Amino acid sequence: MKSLLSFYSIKLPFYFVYMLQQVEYEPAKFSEWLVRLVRKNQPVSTTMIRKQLVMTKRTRLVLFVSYFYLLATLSITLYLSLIGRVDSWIFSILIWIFLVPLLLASFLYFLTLFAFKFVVEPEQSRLTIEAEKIFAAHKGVKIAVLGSYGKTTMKEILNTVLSEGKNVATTPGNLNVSVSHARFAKKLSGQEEVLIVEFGEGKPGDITRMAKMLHPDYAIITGLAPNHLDYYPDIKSIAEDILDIYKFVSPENIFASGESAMLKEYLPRTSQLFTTKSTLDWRVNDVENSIDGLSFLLENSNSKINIRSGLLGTHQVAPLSCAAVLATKLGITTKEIETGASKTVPHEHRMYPRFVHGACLIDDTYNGNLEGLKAGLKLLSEIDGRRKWYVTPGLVDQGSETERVHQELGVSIAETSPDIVVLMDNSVRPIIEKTMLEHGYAGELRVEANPLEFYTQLEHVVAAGDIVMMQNDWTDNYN
Amino acid sequence: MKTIAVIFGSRSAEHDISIITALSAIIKPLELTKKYKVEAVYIAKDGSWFWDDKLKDIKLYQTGEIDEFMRKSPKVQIQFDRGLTLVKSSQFAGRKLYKKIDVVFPATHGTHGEDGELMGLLEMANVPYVGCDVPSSAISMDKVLSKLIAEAYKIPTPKMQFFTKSDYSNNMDSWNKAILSNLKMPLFVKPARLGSSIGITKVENERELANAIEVALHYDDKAIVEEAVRNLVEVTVPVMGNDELTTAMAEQPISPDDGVFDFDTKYMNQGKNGGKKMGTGKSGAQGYSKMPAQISNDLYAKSLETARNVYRAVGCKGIARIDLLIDEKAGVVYFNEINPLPGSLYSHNWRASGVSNVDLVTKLVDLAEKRWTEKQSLTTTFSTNFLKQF
Repeated sequence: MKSLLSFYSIKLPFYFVYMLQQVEYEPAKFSEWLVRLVRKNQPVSTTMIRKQLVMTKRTRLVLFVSYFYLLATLSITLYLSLIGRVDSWIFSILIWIFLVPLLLASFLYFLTLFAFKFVVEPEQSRLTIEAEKIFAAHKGVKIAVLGSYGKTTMKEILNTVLSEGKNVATTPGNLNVSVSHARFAKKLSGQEEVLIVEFGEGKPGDITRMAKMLHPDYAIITGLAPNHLDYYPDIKSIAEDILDIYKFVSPENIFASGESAMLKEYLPRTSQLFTTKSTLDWRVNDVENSIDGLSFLLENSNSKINIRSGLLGTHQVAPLSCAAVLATKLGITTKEIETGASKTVPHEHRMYPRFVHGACLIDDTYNGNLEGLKAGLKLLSEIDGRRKWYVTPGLVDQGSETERVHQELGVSIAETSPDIVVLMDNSVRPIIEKTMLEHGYAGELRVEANPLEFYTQLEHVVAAGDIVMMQNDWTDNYN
Repeated sequence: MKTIAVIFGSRSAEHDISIITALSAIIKPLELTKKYKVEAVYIAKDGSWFWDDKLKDIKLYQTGEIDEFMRKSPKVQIQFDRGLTLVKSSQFAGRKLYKKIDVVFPATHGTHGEDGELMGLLEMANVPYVGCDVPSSAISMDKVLSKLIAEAYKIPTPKMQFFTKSDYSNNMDSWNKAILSNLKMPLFVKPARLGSSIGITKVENERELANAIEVALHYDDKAIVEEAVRNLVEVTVPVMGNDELTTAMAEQPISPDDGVFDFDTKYMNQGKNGGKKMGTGKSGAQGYSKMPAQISNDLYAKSLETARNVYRAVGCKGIARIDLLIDEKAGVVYFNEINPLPGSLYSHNWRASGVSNVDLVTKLVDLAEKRWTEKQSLTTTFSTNFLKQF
């Protein structure tokens, strides 16, 4: 009853527009969320849990249009009743009230569909054509960074290391789609010596489209995982999409992560791999790891590079050594590489440590893949702490792989055996919980119904010496 | 799910501090455990009792809306029914709301609360409650009594003289003479039964003594005069437990230049710096202390041991904070005073010692229930033929 009544709140347009903002105005994702909400019989007011509606110009416009639409349909209904076209005006009002949520949702769906088809897509197409010309004329070395996970971290590492010896420009934040590349191209001065562009595969053909625009000289493939299986039929099709890069970059200029077992299954046999043990002819030795960062020695028959980094976790040895080796190929000196590496620090929401009342919170909430979660669990097992916490809602976008992925996660959690595990009350929690317990997890398990309350009240539940690993964060459209 | 009533406020100079203790250090962590239903019970400055979920919002007090709230809301009544039940009018068709309380968590600092008065009410109701009981609360709040007990247990305390208001006013000259001949300057003059360092004066010479005593006796009808400890390091130690005791860190307040750690220094210097320091958690909540105390290992261990000994000697239960004065040169740890209900439970110190806010309140509730259960096995009533003789 509460769920049904929530659809007649005066704030209904706010909740709908908030969700449109969360799904970046993609009509398909909006309708998926709505269907999920109705199926789970959830009040629509539970929508705005994590964030607030950001009042941009577009948001104000859509809100205005929504309320105008509601008012207009109500007025029309009233008018028709008054002039007698409808038998009973009470009846017509009741019909209008009954249809309000459905009418508004449909209206917004078709509005965004129309806007997407006739406004957004043509604009994006124009931008990408322009960008292709800019990139073709640009004389800088172009590096594409792609893979199911770890792209942004790899890009940031490359940027920091290469910037010590070169003038580098990178795509900002975790923006990795064609239209963001196009906007990035427009901002280039032409003087840059290196361009690093993050390729995000969201649906089939994405990598080819991006590669056609950029024409990269180098490519780094960070890994393969069952992400975005809402849009790809299976893992094989994700792999094929990613490996389309081989059509655009010569194999001796492609570095692929040898740490990703799933990726290795699909790579050509002669692929150049980077791992926590070696990259090309460079060997990794003397790895040391703590909450303050990691260090190791990278050496080959001619040279040694001492890498010190503020990044956490031994899994970062692989991308760091890849960046160092690529830097040598671009003519950057050993000293410059060492200096650059020493400046690599965790970025917000990516294995980012912060201290709260003596407890160390490792914020890895942007980590959205199984390999990344396993790396986080490995880091948790490597660091000393009074109590170890592991906090996760699980993974989104796993499609047909959802059960398998969360079972694997449950096994990894059980093997790491943190003192306290906090899961969020959502659709995948039972899978993780069941598997953890089946594999002998004997620590404390907590289930949180309100993730935002948990995150904002952490200061009350942790104490000095605690290590809290927080991985992935479900957006509200997946609740 | 058990129901816990957190009682705070009261007719006390520490009324406002009690609100903070209740809202931030007790109610919020209790609710986060998801094991308890928490009821907020507020005692206004005029002694009226109120019970409402709205009382959990700090803004009610900060904005002054509490006055409006009290004007409109029904006062709460207490029902003693082999326990404690809160009763109030629902303001609807004459109906009343009832809530049986499983455990009470007192958060009333100072007079009419921390001094054992509230605990007496709870003992009469026979409901489990957190913290020190009636005798240990009353003794702890009386600096004279607690020092006399410490002396009896051979725990060092600074040399002192004490007197009531009537004693002093009837024999002012002889008391002043006794103080000056038995004690060495500088001295501290204090009201015997007030907290938060109110009414304390440091006396450097004879001229200042009478005035300082007058100030102390303005706040209480018993005063204490004691010698200042030389080569002083002040240390405070939170202790928790009934029979088995756990100590947190020995914490060293950073004293102001005049050596008086008064109300303003203690409470009014937080805000921008207090409570927001991240890192090692080695500053006090108000940013005015060092954790752990910067003293030798030997003195540190002695401090913890003295704190435990005092806690046991006075019969404290649940939680308390023991203030100590250390003569660093002579290596002597003196007992100063006990705080039977530490402000905000001194949760910042417990947290730095590895006990989270949630764990702290959970443990305290467990200790309260354990103590209550043990008490139920005692016989306090029995049948007699006494009445038949009348």
